[in-house]
Amino acid sequence: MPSVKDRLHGTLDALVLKTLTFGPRHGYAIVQWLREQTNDALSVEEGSVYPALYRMERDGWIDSDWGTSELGRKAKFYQITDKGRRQLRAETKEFASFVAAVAPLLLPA
Amino acid sequence: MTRRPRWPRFFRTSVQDEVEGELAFHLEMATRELMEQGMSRANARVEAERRFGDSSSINAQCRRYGEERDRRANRAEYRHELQQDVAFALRQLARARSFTAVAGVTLALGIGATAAVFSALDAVALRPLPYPDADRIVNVQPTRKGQPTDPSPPEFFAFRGVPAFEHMAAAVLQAGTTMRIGDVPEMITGAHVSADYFAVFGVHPLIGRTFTTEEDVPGSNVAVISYRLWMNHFNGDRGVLNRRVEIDGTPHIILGVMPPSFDLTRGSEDIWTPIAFLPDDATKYGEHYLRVIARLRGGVTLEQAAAATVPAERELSTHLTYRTLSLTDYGVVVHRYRDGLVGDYQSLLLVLLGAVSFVLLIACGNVANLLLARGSARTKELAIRAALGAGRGRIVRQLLTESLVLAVAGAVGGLVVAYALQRVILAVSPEDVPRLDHARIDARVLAFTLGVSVLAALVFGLVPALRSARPHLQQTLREGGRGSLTRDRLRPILVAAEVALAITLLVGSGLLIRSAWLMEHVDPGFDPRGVLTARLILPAARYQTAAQVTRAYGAIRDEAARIPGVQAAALTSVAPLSGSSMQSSVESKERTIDDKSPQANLRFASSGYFAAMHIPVLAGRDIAATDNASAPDVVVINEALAKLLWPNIDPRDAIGHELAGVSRTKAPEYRAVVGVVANVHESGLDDKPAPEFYMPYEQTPDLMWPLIQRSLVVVVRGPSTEGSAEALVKPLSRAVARVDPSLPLTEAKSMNYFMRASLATARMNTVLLSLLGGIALVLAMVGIYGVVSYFVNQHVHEIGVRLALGATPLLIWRFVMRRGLAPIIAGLVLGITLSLATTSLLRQQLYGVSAHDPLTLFGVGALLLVIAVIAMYVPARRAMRVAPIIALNES
Repeated sequence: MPSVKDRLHGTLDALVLKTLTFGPRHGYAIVQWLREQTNDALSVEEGSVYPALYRMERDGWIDSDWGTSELGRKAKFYQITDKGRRQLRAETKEFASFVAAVAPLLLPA
Repeated sequence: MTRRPRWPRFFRTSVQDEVEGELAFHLEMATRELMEQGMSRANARVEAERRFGDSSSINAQCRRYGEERDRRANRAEYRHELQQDVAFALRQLARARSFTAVAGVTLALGIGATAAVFSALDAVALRPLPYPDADRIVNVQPTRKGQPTDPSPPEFFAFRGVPAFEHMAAAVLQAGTTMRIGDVPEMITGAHVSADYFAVFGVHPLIGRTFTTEEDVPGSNVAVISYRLWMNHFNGDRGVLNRRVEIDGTPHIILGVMPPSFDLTRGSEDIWTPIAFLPDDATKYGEHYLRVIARLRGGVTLEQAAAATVPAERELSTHLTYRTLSLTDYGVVVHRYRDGLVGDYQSLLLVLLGAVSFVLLIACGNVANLLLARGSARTKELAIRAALGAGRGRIVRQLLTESLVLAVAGAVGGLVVAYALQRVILAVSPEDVPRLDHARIDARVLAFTLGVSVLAALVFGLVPALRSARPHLQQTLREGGRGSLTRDRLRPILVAAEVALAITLLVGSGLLIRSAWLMEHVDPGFDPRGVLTARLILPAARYQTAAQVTRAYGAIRDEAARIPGVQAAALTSVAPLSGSSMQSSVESKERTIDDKSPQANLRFASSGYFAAMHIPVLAGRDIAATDNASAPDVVVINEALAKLLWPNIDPRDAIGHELAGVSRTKAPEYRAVVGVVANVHESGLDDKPAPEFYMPYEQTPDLMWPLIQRSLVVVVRGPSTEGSAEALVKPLSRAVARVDPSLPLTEAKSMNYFMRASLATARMNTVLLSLLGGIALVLAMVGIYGVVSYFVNQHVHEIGVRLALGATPLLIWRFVMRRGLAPIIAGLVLGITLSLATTSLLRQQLYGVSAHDPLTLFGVGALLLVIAVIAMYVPARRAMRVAPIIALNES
């Protein structure tokens, strides 16, 4: 089982990939979505999403393209690749098993 | 998934701009959202930056990942283009089938021959010997006035104590050792070695053990066998340990089997037994018969080791009774073991590698020519590609990829050629080339072949590629892709270079082939046809006294003479050209005997030896049956020795003079010369005949018999037809068995066999260089044909016009020939200059011809001209038959 640090790292990746399954969006939109969906519970520094995006793009999980944002400004849009979808499935599975392992300890019935 | 190219190169911004732009966008958006919630712009900005985190660290991380992403993308793009190019090249080559076939076969020949010769050179000379720190294994020899001799036992004992050596061993090779397993006696090569022998090489036995110093004594009767013998005679059975085999009549226990790496040549030893020195060996100063092998201590140089051994050698020579050299004339020389083993073969193989690289270059020239021709045919295609935006570099890369694909295809075919040529090399090379049979097409050879192919692709592909990619877009498209005629200077230059290389190679081969031919026609001094020789060794156990030995040999000779069909039978101690040797200092009675006395070959022979060998007796008589132990001591000498000892008289008048062999420990015993015989090439057909003296075998000094292992060679002469000598082997062994059924014939070989063996190196040169020269000639011919043919094709129009204007076919013939011959003449001149400069490298391998032999130069030049004219004939004839109307219509 991966270490807890890797787990968190993987979780951020998985969340970003999950965001992109709903369609291409730029970095700010991703941050917004994360904030809204988790009700600010995931209080990570907003900027830390960007290294993750560049890393995942390097590894071919996501693609990017310059386009025009809703306010008419040029922005970089990301979209998930097939390889990214496979990665997301793997991450989700691992997360599930992590939760299954940890939950009985932390949340005794 | 294919990644679509998102930003064409010229839209691509730097990663730095990309990251900064993206992060600025984020902060701007965040600020704007906070302002919508009612913050002032300044506060919103500060809050957005706070939420964002450490922007400089984030920026740096993003840039690092971004740059890695771009690098990966570039690599992927490059790979993708390479794949495209290779696929395209394969399609192109598949379409141009005849071009591919000719170029592929040409390259296969060139690359394959190079790989085969390299694999031989690699196995023989480049690979270190398979022993730990093999560079520290050396031969140690005493010298007299700088001339090396074999060490004597006292010298070995003295040298052994010198601290420069970690281990030292003595060895005596026994070419004709009899081994008997069960009932069948078998001749093998063995060696008596001291116990440290195996430690000198640092090699452990594969199974069992080697013998110890305690076992290195007379009567221990132990043996270590080679891997080859183990495989051939014991089928690799591990039960061989502690088995009993009879070696030279004495049962021995097999202690161990050495690994395959210990079989260095095809003729190397198969069995090692203890040398077992006796106490009185320590005073046998005059018996120089050992080989001394040593392992240097780490860090000791050859010179240091020699210098450290000299005092021991000089101290020893003070014990000599008849020493007349001054002490400083005694020295020691230390050679690397490897150098003695590889010897001349390294330079021989380097010559071959040089020759074969010429062949490869000629092959490259041909392929370059073919590519140029194709390039002109493809100008339109390439111009269109260029017009569609492919840069010059991109086109060059694509064309080079085609060359590379071609070269790799050639290399694959070349491996087949290499494999076949390896068999040829092995079949025609002498037996004592070390490790030649270990030559394999292995990873090293494959790597070398691949390297050669890539290099070849660059050599033959670069210039045509650069030329084809030349941006003459408009001109080419206007010309309708026929290619321009004006820029065709490169092809004649290539032909001239090919011719020059072929000439140089052929001159070198010609010289070596002529040397070999001259050697084959050297008169050996005797008639080898129909003569069989076989060595016999009488075991000490049953033949103790000299009288017993001579009586047995006399009986064997008489039995041999009675074999039906045998014209003559005789005995000698050493057969000419057999490779064994025995030398002694010799002096006439008129001069005092000292160490300055000349060396001569010493032979013991029976009556009728010269008659049997057809060696002419110039004066006096052959050895007679009456020259026995009770008769006065006599000697027969050859012409060379007569001239050496009595330079002022006619050799024939040497009859009646007296001479003695020098012994350092005893006073000289003089013998009268009763016969003078013609010179014989003893040590090799390419060596000058050495001075020799023959003593009647029945007058052999008693102490000599143990030294030569009570061994003589029986010589029988049958009819002088091919194969008649070999047919005598069985009758001869039956004849010997009638005297002593336990005696095997050793080295039963025809005199013609020794003649052939003596010519083996020369023959190897002849066969391989003829082969390479032939390939070079064919390639050059193809090259010349290609260029002239191309010239005619390009000039059909002009020729048609000329014919229409009344030119005769003869004039057309001259027109084509003049254009075709110009580069050939240039190549001829260049080639002869080049060969004059390079053939002196061969001087060592030549026999009887000068390195600048005019006959060879002239012959090769003439041969090439003839070949060139033949190659030009077909296209020139086509030019003469051009129908003017068709040629004019075509344009």
